[in-house]
Amino acid sequence: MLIDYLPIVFLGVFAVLFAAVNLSLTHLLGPKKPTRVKLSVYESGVQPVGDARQRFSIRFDLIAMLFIIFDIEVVFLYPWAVVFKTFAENEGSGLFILIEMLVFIGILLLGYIYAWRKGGLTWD
Amino acid sequence: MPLEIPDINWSLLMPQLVIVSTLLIVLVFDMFDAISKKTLGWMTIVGAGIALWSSIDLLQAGTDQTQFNEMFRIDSYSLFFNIIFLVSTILVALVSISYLGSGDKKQGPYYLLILLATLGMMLMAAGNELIIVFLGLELMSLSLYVLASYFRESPASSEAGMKYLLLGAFASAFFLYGIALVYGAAGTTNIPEIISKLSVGDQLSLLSESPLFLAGIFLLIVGFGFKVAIVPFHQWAPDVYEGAPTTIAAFISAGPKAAGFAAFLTIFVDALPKLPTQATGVIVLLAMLTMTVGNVIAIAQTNIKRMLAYSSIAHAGYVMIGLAAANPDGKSSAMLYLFIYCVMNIGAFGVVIMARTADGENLMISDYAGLGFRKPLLAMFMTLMLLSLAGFPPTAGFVGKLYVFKSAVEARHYWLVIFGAINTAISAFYYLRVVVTMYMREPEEELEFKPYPPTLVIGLVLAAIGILLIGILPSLLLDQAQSAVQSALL
Repeated sequence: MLIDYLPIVFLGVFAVLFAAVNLSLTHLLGPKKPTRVKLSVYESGVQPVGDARQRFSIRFDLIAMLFIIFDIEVVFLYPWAVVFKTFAENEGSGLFILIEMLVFIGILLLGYIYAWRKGGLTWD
Repeated sequence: MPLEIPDINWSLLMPQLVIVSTLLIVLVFDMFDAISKKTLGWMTIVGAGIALWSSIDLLQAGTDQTQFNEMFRIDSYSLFFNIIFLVSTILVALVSISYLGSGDKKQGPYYLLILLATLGMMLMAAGNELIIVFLGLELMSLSLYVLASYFRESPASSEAGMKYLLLGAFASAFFLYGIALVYGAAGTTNIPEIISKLSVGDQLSLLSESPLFLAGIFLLIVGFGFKVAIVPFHQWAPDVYEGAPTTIAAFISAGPKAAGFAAFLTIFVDALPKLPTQATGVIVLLAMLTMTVGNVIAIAQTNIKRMLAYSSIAHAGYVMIGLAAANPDGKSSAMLYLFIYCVMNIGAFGVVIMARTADGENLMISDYAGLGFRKPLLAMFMTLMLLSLAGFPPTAGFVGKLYVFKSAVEARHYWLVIFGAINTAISAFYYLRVVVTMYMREPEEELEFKPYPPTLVIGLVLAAIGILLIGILPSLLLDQAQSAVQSALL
């Protein structure tokens, strides 16, 4: 049974070898003409400015949390929308799951208004 | 694949539904600042009271059903635990109303979080499925992390919340990993199914000795062990109890501990006889360690909240005796013990709140010197709670210990009972020391206490009546607990 996994081992070995050979070849054969720009930190083409260890405002934390909550809401909505038609074919159950989703969104909406009223959405 | 809506019997879900609606009502009223925040506390009490009433109603009707495709179990076992949680919630809410002060704008989310935690506990007790148990555990824990750090201005409270969050999240990870391994070995997360797979006829099955499954079971023990604070997973408890608001310390030490044990007992009382004997050995060892470490360290404490924290660790050890016995009597006596423990522990913390002066709480045991005759009501409540915690008759604490020890004798765990008895003697020392300090020592300075808030006194009177009533008529509760276990066996 383990023999089935042999191709994965080959793939791993090949990947390591490919990277190691290429890196060492360019290191040995390539010409070296260092300049200050070439030696600086690569930041996707943007000039590196300052230190990365800055303090961020704690408010980002709140925004991130609210985002996740309402993001999850949408994650629940997609599968619900997919199966809605199958349920709607049965007598009465379409209405049931429609109301169920409305209750769910209603509770989340209450939470949204709560966060709003308590100043969770204002920056200052 | 045809999809069907499972048959839902809403009337069986009444306790949970009432708590959810109370929660939403409190949320809306908190949102619009229309009424005084103290009223929110009363709403919580009324909501929990209705849920309590409907739980008792369902319990007397002898309900025994599962809901949501066997994920949710509404039987006398989960309903009995519902009663424990709701009684704790009502007592804590009563004690909290005056503790937080009326001017505090932040009272609203406090009750909201308490209700959410209660809902999580009810889910844990009703969970017939490891996933539901985990869901309830997280709902409860996340609310408690916030509650522990509720006094944001106090560094101790923030520290308590932070510690609880970091360690709690770590323990949850252990628990989840345990679920994953058990699922990998057993192929299901349904608790009765897992237990039935452990044996084939009278013989133990291969599953009960599979290393994967045992590793999962031990990770579950670690996860639960953290939540109910048994040694060696107890380190968070004293720091959290000391730093958290006293009402919340009372809450954390009562309901969540009972909830942790509710799920612990569901899984392990039935599973232990079918596991290798080492598993029982581990539980016995943990019980002995928990009792001994909790009681011995409690002797050295000078801060009363820390002392109560170590005492609550020791009490978890006594409940573990019932778990180790792993027979129906062990289960029902552990349930009885948890109920009694919750009432007397909230009572003891309530007295600590009562002893407040204008500049805050007096948490040193030496501050209680001379209170016996200067503050007779306070000293009387404190003495009663401590005697009950130590297990003196005719209080409820005695009854609880008696039945737990009895179940362990029946299961032939004699050493465990001897350990328990020695530990009870040790614990009497530090409980009685507070009583002696109150009645036989002169105070170093005269302390000017705040007048007792009426809600706090009501809460303490209720707790005291409960302790004495159960102490004198234990069958009131024990019959319920025993029939709950019996019905689960059928």
